[in-house]
Amino acid sequence: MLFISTLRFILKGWVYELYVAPSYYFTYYGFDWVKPLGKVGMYIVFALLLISSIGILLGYFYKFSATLFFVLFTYVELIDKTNYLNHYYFVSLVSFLLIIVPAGRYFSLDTRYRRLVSYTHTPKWTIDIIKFQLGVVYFFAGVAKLNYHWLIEAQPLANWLKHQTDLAIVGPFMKYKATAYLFAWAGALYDLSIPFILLSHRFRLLGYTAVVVFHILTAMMFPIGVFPLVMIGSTLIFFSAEYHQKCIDFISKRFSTDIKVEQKQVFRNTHSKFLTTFLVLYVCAQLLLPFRYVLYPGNLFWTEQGFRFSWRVMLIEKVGYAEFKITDSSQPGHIIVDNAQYLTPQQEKMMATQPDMILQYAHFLKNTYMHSQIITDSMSFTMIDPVVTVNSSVVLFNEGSRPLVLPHINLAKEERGWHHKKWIESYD
Amino acid sequence: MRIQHTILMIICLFFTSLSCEKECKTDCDDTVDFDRKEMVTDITTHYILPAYNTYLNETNSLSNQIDVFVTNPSVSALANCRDHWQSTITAWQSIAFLEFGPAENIGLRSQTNLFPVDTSKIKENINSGNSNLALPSNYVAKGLQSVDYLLYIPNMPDSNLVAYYENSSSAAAYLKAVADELKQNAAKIHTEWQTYQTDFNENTTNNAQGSAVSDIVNALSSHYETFVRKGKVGIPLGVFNGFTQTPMPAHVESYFSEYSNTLLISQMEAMHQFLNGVGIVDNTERMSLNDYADFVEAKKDNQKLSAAINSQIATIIDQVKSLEMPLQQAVIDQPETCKTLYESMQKLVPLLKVDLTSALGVLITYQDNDGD
Repeated sequence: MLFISTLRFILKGWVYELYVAPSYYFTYYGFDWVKPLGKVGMYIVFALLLISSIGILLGYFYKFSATLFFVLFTYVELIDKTNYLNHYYFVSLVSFLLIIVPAGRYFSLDTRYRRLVSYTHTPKWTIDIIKFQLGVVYFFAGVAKLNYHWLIEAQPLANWLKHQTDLAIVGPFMKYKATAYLFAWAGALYDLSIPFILLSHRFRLLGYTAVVVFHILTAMMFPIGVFPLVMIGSTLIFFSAEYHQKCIDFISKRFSTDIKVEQKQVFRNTHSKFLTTFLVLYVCAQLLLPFRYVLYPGNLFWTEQGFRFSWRVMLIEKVGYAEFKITDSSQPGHIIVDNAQYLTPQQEKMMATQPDMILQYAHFLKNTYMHSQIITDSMSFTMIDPVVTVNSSVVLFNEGSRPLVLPHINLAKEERGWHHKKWIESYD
Repeated sequence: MRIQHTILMIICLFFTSLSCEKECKTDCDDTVDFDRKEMVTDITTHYILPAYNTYLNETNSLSNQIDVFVTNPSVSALANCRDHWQSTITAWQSIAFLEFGPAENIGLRSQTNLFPVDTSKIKENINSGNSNLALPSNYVAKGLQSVDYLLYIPNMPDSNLVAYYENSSSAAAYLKAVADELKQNAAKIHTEWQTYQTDFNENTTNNAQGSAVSDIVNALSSHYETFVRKGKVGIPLGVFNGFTQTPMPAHVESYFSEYSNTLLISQMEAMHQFLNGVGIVDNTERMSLNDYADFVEAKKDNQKLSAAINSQIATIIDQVKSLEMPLQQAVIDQPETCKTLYESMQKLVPLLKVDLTSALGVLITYQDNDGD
């Protein structure tokens, strides 16, 4: 699965488009040191991602492959937040968990060729932690849907569905508001309950059918890439050990490789105390992180403070426009920035709706113009105090565009960080 | 068991609430069908095809008139050429924002109406006598703006201009070649649309990148932002001119004929016509992008988005009409009025690029730049 995803990424030319072509990258706060490696470097990284994903799949040098995959994948994601997607974050987390769990110690090339001990049994936590991670994704995606726009206005679904009235069979129902409400409420109910349904033995098959139907439906309606595939594949872990054993038996028959049924071998971790503490902390962090938005005032969808890493999937419809102006505090005149000179269309689009990226870009502009020589017919000076302001216009849920950032604020003087951004226009 | 019951109850409750909702909705009758394919077909049949047709006819007449003029130069033939040049470039304003499909394939806009023109390049081409107009480096020396120059050469009274073409066969040949190329490009696009229209009208199952709706909206927004707001007004006014923002009057459209105000008005009127689905031939309103925006209930400041767009276009047209002189002079003598005009034009950018695209679920695929 990771292999397909990586391959798709490379084949679509996204490596070049996203990690080589841009001249500026929106790094994460605290991770500004993460830089792309240039054309050759980035292609090597993606080639290694491909190889390590095969390594994980076949269980060959499993631990090394998993670590390599995790490090490289996370590195790539950290380069530019323009490309943030919840399911990439999910892949990062799961690949991290894969390093800890002994998923390469049964029915793998490692046990076959490298004569590593094959574990037939593994402690419950090693599977539960992955189940937990999947549960978190669904449950918090569900919690995130429990908001006024989603439940009471059925937004943004109501808007999206209006454009689907010519879909086969279901199309004619798309124009009714009720359909949007049905989808919105059913979606929320699905997300909130599916982890528990999958956990219960009795309803598991029903639950998994729901998973498949739900993801296929969303894949048909929205351009969301590999996400449905990832989820349909990953949720298989909820099935019992016997089921997976059957699959393995089936595959091994196909390749006529028999796995020697040795005596029961149980995987035990030697640093259990350290590991326990770590896992408890990890679980707490996963449970708390999505709620950090309550620490910020204002409308979450408007300010997007505490929005990322919180499993907020397909929740907002937001489009923006931002035109930057640079002046020098001691000189008359100004310059209108041509965004295309520094940003790719995708970066410009994402930046225009997200305040933290607007600020980052403003700082980049400040640094670009700092100490630059301005020579015109009537004056010549060195810019020592660039003032960066933005004329922004953003629409949320088609309620009419309005400024996102206070127009007279000098963004060059505002600091990045996790504090509340007072320079965002209030929404209500 | 208890869990089962709870789940069952929730599901029941859910569906009862839904059925209530549905009843009201059907009774209230507030849902109208919107047939995207019908809208696109209306736009194609009653706007795009006849607009290209008009433009083709105009370029044909212009080419004919220029033929008459260069064969037998006279002041009256010159006046005829100028008349037809004006109606051709006015017709152009109605199709300038349709840069997708066949037009995009050959870069029709850059081949047709790039400004400012490079007058020394034109002179050079005339002198050499064997220039290849198809070369991109010659885009600044051909098209409607070169005809603008060639029919209105500065400091040349009409009689001198007639004499110039009488005496210089290479100048006459160049003028003719430029007009003929306009005609050929128009014919090419017109022909291609006859077959392209089928695919285009069918390409309406969604509004994703590459769909008809996405193409239309992107082309309209891109043309307006880059070539109208910026190209026709912003750049001449000096908004983008470095730090001092000194006006650049020579960068207006149709600098030599001083026809820019009229063309700006035609441009805004054509966009208004297009957005509201008004037929080119019969002036009848049909389904349009504005109807689509109304269907999805797009709003802007407590009014319909479509109304906000229409009134902003009207404001812009009024402000152009309030200019007391050609734009190239107004940017010097009436800078404040021009700045107000530019601000009004700027306000239309987010209405198209942000509000309209969001309402129609279209992704912007272009980036505002110098556009050539």
